[in-house]
Amino acid sequence: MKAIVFSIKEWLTTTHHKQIGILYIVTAIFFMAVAGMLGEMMRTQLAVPMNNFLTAFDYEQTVTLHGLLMILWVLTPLAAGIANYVVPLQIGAKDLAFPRMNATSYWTYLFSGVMMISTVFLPGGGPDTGWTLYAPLNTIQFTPQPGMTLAVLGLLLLSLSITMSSINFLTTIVKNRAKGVTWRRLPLFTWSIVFTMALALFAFPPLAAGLLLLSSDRFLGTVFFSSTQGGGILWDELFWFFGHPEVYIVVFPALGVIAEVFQTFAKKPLFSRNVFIIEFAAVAFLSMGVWMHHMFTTGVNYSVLQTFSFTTLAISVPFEGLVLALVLTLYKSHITLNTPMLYCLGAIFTVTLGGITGVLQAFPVLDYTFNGTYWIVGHFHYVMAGTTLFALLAGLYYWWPKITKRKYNEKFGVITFLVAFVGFNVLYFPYFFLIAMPRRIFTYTVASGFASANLVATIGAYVFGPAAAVAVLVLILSLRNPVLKEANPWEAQELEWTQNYQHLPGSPTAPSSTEVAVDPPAKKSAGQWYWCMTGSCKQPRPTLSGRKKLAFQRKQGSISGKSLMPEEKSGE
Amino acid sequence: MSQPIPTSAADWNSFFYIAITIAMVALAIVIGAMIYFVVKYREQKGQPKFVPDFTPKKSTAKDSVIFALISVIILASLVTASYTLVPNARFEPSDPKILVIDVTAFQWDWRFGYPNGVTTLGNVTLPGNTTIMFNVTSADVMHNFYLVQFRVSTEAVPGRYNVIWVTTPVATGNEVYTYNIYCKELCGVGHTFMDAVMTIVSPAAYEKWLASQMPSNSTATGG
Repeated sequence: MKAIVFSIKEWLTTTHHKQIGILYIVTAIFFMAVAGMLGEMMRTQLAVPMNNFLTAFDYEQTVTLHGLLMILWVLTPLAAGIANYVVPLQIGAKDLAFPRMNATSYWTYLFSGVMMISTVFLPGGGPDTGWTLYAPLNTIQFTPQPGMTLAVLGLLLLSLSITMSSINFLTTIVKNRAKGVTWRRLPLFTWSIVFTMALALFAFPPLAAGLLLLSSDRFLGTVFFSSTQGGGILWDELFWFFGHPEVYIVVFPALGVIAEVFQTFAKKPLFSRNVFIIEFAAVAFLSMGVWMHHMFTTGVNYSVLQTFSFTTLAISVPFEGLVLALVLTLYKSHITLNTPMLYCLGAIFTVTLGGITGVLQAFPVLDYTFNGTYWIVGHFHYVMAGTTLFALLAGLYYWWPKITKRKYNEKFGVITFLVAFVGFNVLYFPYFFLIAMPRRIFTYTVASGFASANLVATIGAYVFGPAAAVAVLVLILSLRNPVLKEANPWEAQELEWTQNYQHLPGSPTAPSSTEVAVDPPAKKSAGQWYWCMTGSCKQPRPTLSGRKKLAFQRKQGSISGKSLMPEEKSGE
Repeated sequence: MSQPIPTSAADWNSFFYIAITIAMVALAIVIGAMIYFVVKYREQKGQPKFVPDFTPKKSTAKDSVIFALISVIILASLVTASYTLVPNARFEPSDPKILVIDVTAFQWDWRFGYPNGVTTLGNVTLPGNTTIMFNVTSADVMHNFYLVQFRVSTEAVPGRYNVIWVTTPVATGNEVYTYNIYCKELCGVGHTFMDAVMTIVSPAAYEKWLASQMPSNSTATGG
């Protein structure tokens, strides 16, 4: 009993990047379960025409909460959780640069998510404006319920959390790399986190600004967004200036995971690695300049249409280059088809289809019709639900032996993937045939002709949802498996597997207190470094078993839990 | 009942089908290549263990140049297509006899105002073979005026007039065509059923209908 209390206290007060990473992953999966249930509720309501499973108001709340939770409380933090665990290991840092800020980020995130879910239980209900919270529907005149105000505050808190995270990660990656880990050798997942966090740093302030103005409208009676002199457009601009980079914030870690998994299981370095990173940078840069394509129908003038049509088409070129580089990596490779690899191949399919349908939307003429219909819903679910979810699941499966020292059941993993992939496509592909169906309608008539596609989609939802749950269950069940003996079961080449200790020679955070320190390898030149990473050079490995190691760390005082206010170690 | 496809929708469809065909070919190439690689380079059971070589290769500038060139060609063709198509839906048509209809969206219906002051709710009757200019605004929150079968839409923004043009299909005799108008922007709980009907009749029938809508007492309408 005492041990449990101690460990709860330990988890509540931890500042260690691995533990916070696990907290992030567990919490994101919890929110995913909630948001997934909301999705199943919507599909149930839309299964047949004139259904009355949900009322209009309940349906709009469901739509809103599903969107907000999935994008901001599931996909972004799940990637942040994996990054929390993996990035310091990949760059040879002891921990993130600001461990206590990292803990603050996590608890702020958890609290804001609880706030967001609790809105629907308040009298008057939660926000029912869609995840875009368009003005002036978001003002107190049209949504007087306190749940809406709470949602705005929850979003503000989340912006705070993500901004702190992004500063933390960027500082860590810039300052705390071990000596051997130069920018050119930086692992690709870490590269993807660099671009993700750089985008987050610039994308969330406009959202926070908009939310502050909105709070001011709701609390103080100002008229920023209720004004008929452009209030609605002002929100559009602020929201989408955040909203479009956010799409890439969601997708970038997925591409990073795919690159890692392909390198390991195709047993080949990434095709044109340098071009890949340059393209990453190009997409990140251009993504700050395409937000107006969400507003093609708001009556913007012709030159703006042309400009943003151009930038949107331009961003598709480096983005497709990223996908092509990943696909070409498989050329003349030696592919092991296991669960993470299959999830990544599935993600490549969804990102290509989602990306290509997105290119069509870059044509303003086509967008006049697509805008606000189920085509758009299909497009962004392919990009976000498909690509990011599949790739992050691949990441979990891939790093699972690293995190838990256990191997999942391969057969279950593969079967779950196949079911989930089929279910996903049955669910979202029919959306591309619903060009006439407006988004966020809670039901439709028989005469509208939407019935058959919706029924198929609902059947797909009943397959995809449970399959995604089982995918997580397969991982949880693997905790009963015996502890792995080898530290690198995949025979992967990247630093987090080959360097089974925290600090590398010359790390500013050395000596490490969080892992068993081993003798650093001798300084090597660029070519030799990689040669060394393949395991050919003699490399001392820690010999202590997991339990002994934990005891050792406790003795060292490195796993926090001694006091509620954990001591931050100086970076010496 | 088969109704004529409006010209704007015919244009839209033809471009859409070309674009989606190209897109699907591109998709097939990428995914086909991926599946081919996976099948061809899959590790078979009983093969000797493969030892990967991660020695960094000298990156050649040739790769990057080819990448950049292909990118520029794709981008140039896409942008050309986009720029030549944008005007179709945005430029004011040269037809001098434009019928201007004021559209006001509100929670949760559409109000249509005719040039002579007649207003209707949820139903707009229009003459065939005429260029119609919809002058769209909103009285409260954002809505989206979506002419489904015409394949055009515009946002209805409070305090702002957005304009779209369509040409109605030819109707000369007793034909009555009806088209749907949906709201595409979530505007509150009534969003789902915020639709309207566009009825196209012959110009003669339209004049007759408009005259019948004129109120007999002159106090009912404002400008």
